[in-house]
Amino acid sequence: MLKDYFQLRTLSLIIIGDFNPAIIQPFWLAKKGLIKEQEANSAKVEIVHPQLTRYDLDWVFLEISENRFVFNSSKEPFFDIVRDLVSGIFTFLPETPISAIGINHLLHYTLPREEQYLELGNRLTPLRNWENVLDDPKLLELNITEQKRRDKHKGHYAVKIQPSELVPKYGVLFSINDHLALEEGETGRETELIKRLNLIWNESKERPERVVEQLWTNLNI
Amino acid sequence: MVYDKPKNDLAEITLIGTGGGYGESCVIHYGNDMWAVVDSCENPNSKECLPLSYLRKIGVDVNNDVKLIVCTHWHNDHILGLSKLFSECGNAILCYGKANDRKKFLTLVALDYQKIKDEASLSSTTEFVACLKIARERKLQVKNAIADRLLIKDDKIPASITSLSPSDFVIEQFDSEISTLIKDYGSPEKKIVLQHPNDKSVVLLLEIGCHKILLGADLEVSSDNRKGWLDIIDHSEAVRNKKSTLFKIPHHGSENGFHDRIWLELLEINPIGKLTPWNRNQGLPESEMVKKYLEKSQSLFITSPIILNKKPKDRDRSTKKLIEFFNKKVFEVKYKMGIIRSRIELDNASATWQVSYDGEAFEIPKVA
Amino acid sequence: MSSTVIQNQTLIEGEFTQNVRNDSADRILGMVSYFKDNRIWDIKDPLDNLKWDSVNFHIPSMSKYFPIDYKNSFRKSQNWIGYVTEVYPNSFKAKIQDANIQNSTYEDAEFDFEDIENEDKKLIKLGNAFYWSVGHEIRRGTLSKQSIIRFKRLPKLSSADFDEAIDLAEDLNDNINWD
Repeated sequence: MLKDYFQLRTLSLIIIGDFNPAIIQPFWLAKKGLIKEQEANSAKVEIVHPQLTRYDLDWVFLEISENRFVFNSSKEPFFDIVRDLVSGIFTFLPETPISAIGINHLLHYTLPREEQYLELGNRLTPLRNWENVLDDPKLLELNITEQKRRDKHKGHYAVKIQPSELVPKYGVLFSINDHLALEEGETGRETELIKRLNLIWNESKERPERVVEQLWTNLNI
Repeated sequence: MVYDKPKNDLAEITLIGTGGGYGESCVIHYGNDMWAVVDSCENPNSKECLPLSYLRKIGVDVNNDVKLIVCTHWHNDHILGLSKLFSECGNAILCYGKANDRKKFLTLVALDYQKIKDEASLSSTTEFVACLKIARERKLQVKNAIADRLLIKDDKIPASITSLSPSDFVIEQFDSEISTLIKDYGSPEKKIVLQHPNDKSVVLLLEIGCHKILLGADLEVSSDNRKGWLDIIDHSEAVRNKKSTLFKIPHHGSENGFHDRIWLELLEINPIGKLTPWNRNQGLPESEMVKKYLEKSQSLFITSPIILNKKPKDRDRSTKKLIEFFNKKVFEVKYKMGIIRSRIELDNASATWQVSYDGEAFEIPKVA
Repeated sequence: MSSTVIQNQTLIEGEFTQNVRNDSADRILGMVSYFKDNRIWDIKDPLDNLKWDSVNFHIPSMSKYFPIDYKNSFRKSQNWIGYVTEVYPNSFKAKIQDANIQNSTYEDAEFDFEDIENEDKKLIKLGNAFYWSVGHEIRRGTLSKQSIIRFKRLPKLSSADFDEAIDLAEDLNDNINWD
């Protein structure tokens, strides 16, 4: 099973909208009771600026620009807490316009042998079609999308497969992009997408591993 | 046990248990293809609604033939899967324990429902609100259960289902409690904690043909006879001179659910007793209570064994070691499904209950 | 680490133009700054052989390659969400549910107060929710076993939430066929 080769899972939650980066500083989060005071005190702040704020709380890295709000975490125990933080921030800023949310689950695996690593590329996209076209072709990146979400919300679900540079050799990265967009008639000013994020969160967390395992089973490497 | 539909002249009371933690349910056939369901339970691994699956398995037309669904208390996992059941039972009336100030009660439920997005909601609240929303769409009546209230009746059979609780006093107390709960509503990460939830539970008296059955829910005995079992014994007109031959023992056979007067005044001598265990904390029923119930019953059935040696959940070795390294006090609440089915000829006063069981259920043997 | 990338840029309202190094050995990371070896490079650094391009910073719907400090990460962990069910002088009991598998049995657990961080101790109350995880943490490249207990922190329900709840209650009250 592919999970035997699992190395690391990271989360990148991206929110597109209109933001005021200077507001969302660590002490603001602590004052609102969304993080611990001690976390605010020990935050590694890179910049706080009306157009860009970036800091690291150790379990999550935040970057806020005027149009994009990013939460990155490489600590799985804190993924639900990241979601809580997102929910909490936008509870205090309920009229913030949000037009899209991307929940990106990045799963890194290390395959034990080069043959498996190369065969993965070959099974995903048969490389024999590239013989006589390119010399020694290899798959570098593959992107497959499910254009209509299973839960019928507006958005899509996409899987990208590429080499992983974060893990030792023969590393493979499965990037799952679970994307939510506004429905027709929604303005994005009533935290519609944050509510939807909360509704789909559990499934969003659970599905990537199922996707990857099923794919691996189908590929039969 | 053969899974078949009872004939029209057979009453059936089927108790479904899950080992304590995932709910329990009673499925009732009160004659002529008419059914009622009390509470709900589910398989935590598949979210299968167990009473619904049972009814389908024996070939019941759930959409038409289930006439009544009773929620004996809306709190704490007693109604897991109820909304799924109710959505399939298109002609069923929903019934739950009364609150005097209905709007205030609904506000409390709705506030708790707001927490659903933050997962701190009681799972029962989400079930309950889902049921109310279905009721709203259907325009079928929603009934409130109170002491001595006739919930459903059929003169042809004849058959009736009467609620014997909650008492007026408990309903009044609950109203004050709701006010406090709304006032102290507080953080969304905190679940509602009801005081004495079992006081509010709905006990039912079933009269089917010439037989009577008492379903004890989780009602406990209080020293105050304005509530609990003593209220029913001392004040109920519905049970006057009506003794049951089948008893669904309340509150998992706990000492709190026992009183000699229940057995003397509400039950025939040596009734059939059935109960579900509670396998959390110290576990129920305790052995002393089992002995007592065995002495008082003709036969005693339980939906699954009492688990004395609790174990951690089965996981891969490295995870298990890791958990044990940090905390040795983590135990699984096991899912153990058991069914106890009791059938009797409606019109035959000298008929005896035919009991069969399946899954983890068994008859507790009388020790010689 | 200095945060000088932005200070030396002209920020144009509605669009952020920045200069980034576009080098064959590195990718453009689609962010506001350039990362290499976990450092933000000051564009005024006198680096030789640089080719500077002006790139319009646009917002892709899918994340590009974001820098994750994998030297501070977690290996696969077992995670739960728990609810306090009983509180004792030095410990509490809780019902805990596997956070990664919704359809599964739950567990009963007991925790000592000394395992709870000071700032969280005031949150040990009946009904309160918390997260518990056990796993292997990699910190600055060193692997160690970790158990993390952290109480949930969410804002109180807003007035909008209250309004929504009251609306729901009114709707149900008015539109159900009560007996």
